[in-house]
Amino acid sequence: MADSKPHYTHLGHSNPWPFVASLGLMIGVFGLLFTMYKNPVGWMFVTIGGGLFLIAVFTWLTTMVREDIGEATEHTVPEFPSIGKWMVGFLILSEVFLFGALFATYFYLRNHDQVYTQSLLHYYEVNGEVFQIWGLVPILNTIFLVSSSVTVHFAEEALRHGKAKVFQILMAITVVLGALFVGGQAFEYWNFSVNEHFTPQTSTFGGTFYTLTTLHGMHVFAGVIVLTSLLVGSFFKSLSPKRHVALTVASVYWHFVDVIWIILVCVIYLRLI
Amino acid sequence: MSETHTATHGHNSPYPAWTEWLFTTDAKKIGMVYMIMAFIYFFVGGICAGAIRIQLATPTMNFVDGVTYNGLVSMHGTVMIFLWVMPFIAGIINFVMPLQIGARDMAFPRLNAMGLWLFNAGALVLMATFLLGMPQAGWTSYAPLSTLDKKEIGMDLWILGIQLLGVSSIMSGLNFIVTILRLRAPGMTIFRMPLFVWSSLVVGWLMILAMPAIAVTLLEVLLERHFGFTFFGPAHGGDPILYQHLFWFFGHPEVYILIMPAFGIISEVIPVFSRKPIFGYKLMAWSMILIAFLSFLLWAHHMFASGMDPRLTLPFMILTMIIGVPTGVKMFNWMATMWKGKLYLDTPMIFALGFLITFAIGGFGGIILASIPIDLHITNTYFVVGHMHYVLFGGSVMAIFAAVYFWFPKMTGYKLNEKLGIWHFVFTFIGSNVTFLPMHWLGMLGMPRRVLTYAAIYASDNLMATIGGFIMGLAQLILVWNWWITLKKKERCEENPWRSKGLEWTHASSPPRPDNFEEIPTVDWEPYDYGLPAPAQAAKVKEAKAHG
Repeated sequence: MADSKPHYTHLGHSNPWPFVASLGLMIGVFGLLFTMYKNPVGWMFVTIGGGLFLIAVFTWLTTMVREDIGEATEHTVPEFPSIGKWMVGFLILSEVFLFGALFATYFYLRNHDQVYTQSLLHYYEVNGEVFQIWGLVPILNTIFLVSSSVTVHFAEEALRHGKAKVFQILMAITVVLGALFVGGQAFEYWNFSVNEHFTPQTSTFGGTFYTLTTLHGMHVFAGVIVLTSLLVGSFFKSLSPKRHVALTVASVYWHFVDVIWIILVCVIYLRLI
Repeated sequence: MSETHTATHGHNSPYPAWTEWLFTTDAKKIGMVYMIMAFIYFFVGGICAGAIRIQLATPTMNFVDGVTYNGLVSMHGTVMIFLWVMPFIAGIINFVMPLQIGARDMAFPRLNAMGLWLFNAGALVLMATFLLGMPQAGWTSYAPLSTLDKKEIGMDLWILGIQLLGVSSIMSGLNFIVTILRLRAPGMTIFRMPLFVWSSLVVGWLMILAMPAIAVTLLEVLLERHFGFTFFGPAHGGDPILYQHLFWFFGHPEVYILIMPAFGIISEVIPVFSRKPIFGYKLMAWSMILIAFLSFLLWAHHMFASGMDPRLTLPFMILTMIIGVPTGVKMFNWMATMWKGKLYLDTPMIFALGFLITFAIGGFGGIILASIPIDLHITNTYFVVGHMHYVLFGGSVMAIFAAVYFWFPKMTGYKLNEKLGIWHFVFTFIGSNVTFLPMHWLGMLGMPRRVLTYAAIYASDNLMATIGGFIMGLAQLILVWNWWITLKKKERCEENPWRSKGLEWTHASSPPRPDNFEEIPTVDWEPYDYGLPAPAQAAKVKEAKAHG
């Protein structure tokens, strides 16, 4: 694009990575299928497809960042980001419906399945044994996630005011807190399935509990990766007080994930609703 | 928005020439690939339909066995909905919408390309079912059917394929919305947008809000099938009705994803060939929004016979009937647009007129089905099949043909042969009515859906439907022939053969340059200002504004 003025879309540029990423996903999907049918080559397909996908997405994103840094002037910065912000806004709306469908599953089954009816507050009966899912791990996880929402907010503030060091420290804390959450959830799963014999297969509650929390946990994990790459990128000057939109968008997403967790705690762990 | 960009096109691409169409991020090329693939799958779905109709030609035909028949029915529905109408919609929106709003491309060209190739990936996964075993559960894949037989590979392919298509649709939807909201040319205010752009905006919303539901539903089916989870199996506390609720929460908006662009296309075609502004422009836009909003609130009308709290059924029935109101508004506005207009009966207009007739019949069928006492008796009969095909074929597909004839000169610079176009219409119209009208009668007589053989009393109507089906199917070969001779002759038509006043015709060449416009136009006219010379129309509008 050296021969032309900057533009928010990179017109006419061919780009192989969307094609490669889709190809990777298709190979991965066939791999998943073979794996489900206990075919030994399945894992190979999953690895190749997943690898292609990750390489493609990584190259795609880093190219995007590099072009952005290379081409953008102070004048063009508001262009691309403003549409980027809109896109993430609508994406989050779509995610609301994604989680909504899963919560709908939970509520529907709670009204139709005997497993739930005998439970009191935050207890669920599994195989005749009363079993408590609320405990130290979800309490700690809530603390981790809520405080990470606070730190990411102040990291953004710091960036806007040009305090690069403060920004990097707060971002690092956010990433660590997010990682602790994911670790905590993994520990909880291990504890539930090994010690309490509470697995996705136990009951309809097990199924919805694990599906919802895993889907949420994957969102946290994705957020950790995004925030980490923003932190790493900041060492290469990809962010600046005027070029903070990637972070703004990531932080909005992070708050969204936090809100979903709070709803999850209220509905599933504490059964307030 | 500052639009000062001077274009750099594909020729500076660092990749070899053969990758041009694989790696393109140009919305017009992406749209073309979508549409070409859509037509290929249209013929795949058509072959499935042909086999089904041969099997049903006589009461005890032995053309295919039961398993194949179930597979054909499932794949016919799936292919026609997800691999024909949906990608065609995505393609035509990609091609036309940026031109109509005065944008150089979509907001996210690479995401757009990703959407295209995810569609192709999903389509190939679905096509693999023809080799590895077709799914047995129908395009709805209701839970006990889709979860019980855990060794059925076609079902898993179906689930995974639809997941990929769903992600692709969400990407397209995000792109449509942001493009329309953020990249309009200066002066193209929200109420100056052509109605096709309005329909694209509404479709974008429907896609991002409805697709997550099917993603969750199919994830649950997959977990139940292979990982021992329980959501739908009654033996372990699940409920199959849950599947229906989740599926139709996606499925009903999906129906409007299929028909909404048809509304947009018809609203584009009728004013051009009536030489009149569209009647009730704002009402047309608002009615689309209202239809889209309502479409999220009436999913359970597919489930009156499934068993539901009776207190819930009445609101669903009333809401379903209410959706007939904005749809009726659109029908009357189209007719009022033609009223006292100077009608030109070119092929796109002929198809639009055909749409009005068949879609109206389909709509009336819908009102009949909305009524619970009637629905309980005919919901699992051929009446529903007839109604659904009137709306989807007589609605969406008729409009798609109108769009093909209307925008073909824009896409290629050549105009399709009019005479062949008319013949294509005549046989398609007669064929589709001969096929789908008897299905209503069969339904009233009580012939159940999804059967492979049937009682002798249904024989004559079924034979009629089969004959009609073949007329309709063979009529599509006229379209292929038309493409073939038009593209072979290479006879350039005028830049604006229909004398349309749409931005895509007046300010872009045919076919458009890669960055769409030499210079982004500034819009200072109202949409569809036919009938008056442009300055006079503008003066009139100014006057009206001064008064109002």
